[in-house]
Amino acid sequence: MSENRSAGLVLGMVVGVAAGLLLYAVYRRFARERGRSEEFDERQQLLRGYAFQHAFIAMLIYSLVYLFMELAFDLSVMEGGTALMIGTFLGLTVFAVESILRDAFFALNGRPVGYIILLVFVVASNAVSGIMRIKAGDVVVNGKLTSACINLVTAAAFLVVLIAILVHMRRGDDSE
Amino acid sequence: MKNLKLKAARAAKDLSQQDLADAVGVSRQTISAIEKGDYNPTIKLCIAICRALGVTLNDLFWE
Repeated sequence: MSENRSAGLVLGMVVGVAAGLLLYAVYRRFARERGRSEEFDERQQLLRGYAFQHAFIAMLIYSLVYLFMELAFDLSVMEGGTALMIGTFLGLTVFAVESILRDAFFALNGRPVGYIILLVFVVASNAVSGIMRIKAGDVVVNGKLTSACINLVTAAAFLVVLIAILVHMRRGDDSE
Repeated sequence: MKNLKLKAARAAKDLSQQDLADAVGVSRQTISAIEKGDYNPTIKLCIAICRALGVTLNDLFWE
């Protein structure tokens, strides 16, 4: 990887993480001022615990499969950091989807609409960036998936979460 | 196992699931899950529900 590309990648990641943290801080401040807190009732907390467990198990299985493929078959299809990143996103997605489908993702005062808007923005922006990286030929280099695929992985993961929210909303109200 | 007693007690007070949920500080889906028998509430939540509906634990949660 050239120095310029490497510096650009690091800078992009730092800016991305910083922007995400800033948005989250603004959201929390805004929510606190409006009297909304992130509270989950006992059933939601229990189900979120199960979702964390399943996410952990998914990440464990993914790591073992990847390790086995590499050690047993000398099959390395991605850079080490990329594999780690994909595993992390897998865990986050499993947690989010399970929580959403079991009504344990949104807090008592939570509103899905804000999340949907944010997710659409994240999916769209990352998909556009990902397509640009594909066109630039950065995503697969020497037959290996590189860290340049982060935008595509992010878009895919958040798209799955967005679909889960929409499916769950469409399933409708199970009230009396 | 479905908790029909809870549903009946709630209906007797003319409360929706959301009203009862707001009164005891849980989500509507939790009240729905309890009534359907999909979730067993803790004793703390049982007591809160009984207080909100003005009934005893025996009335709602004992066979």
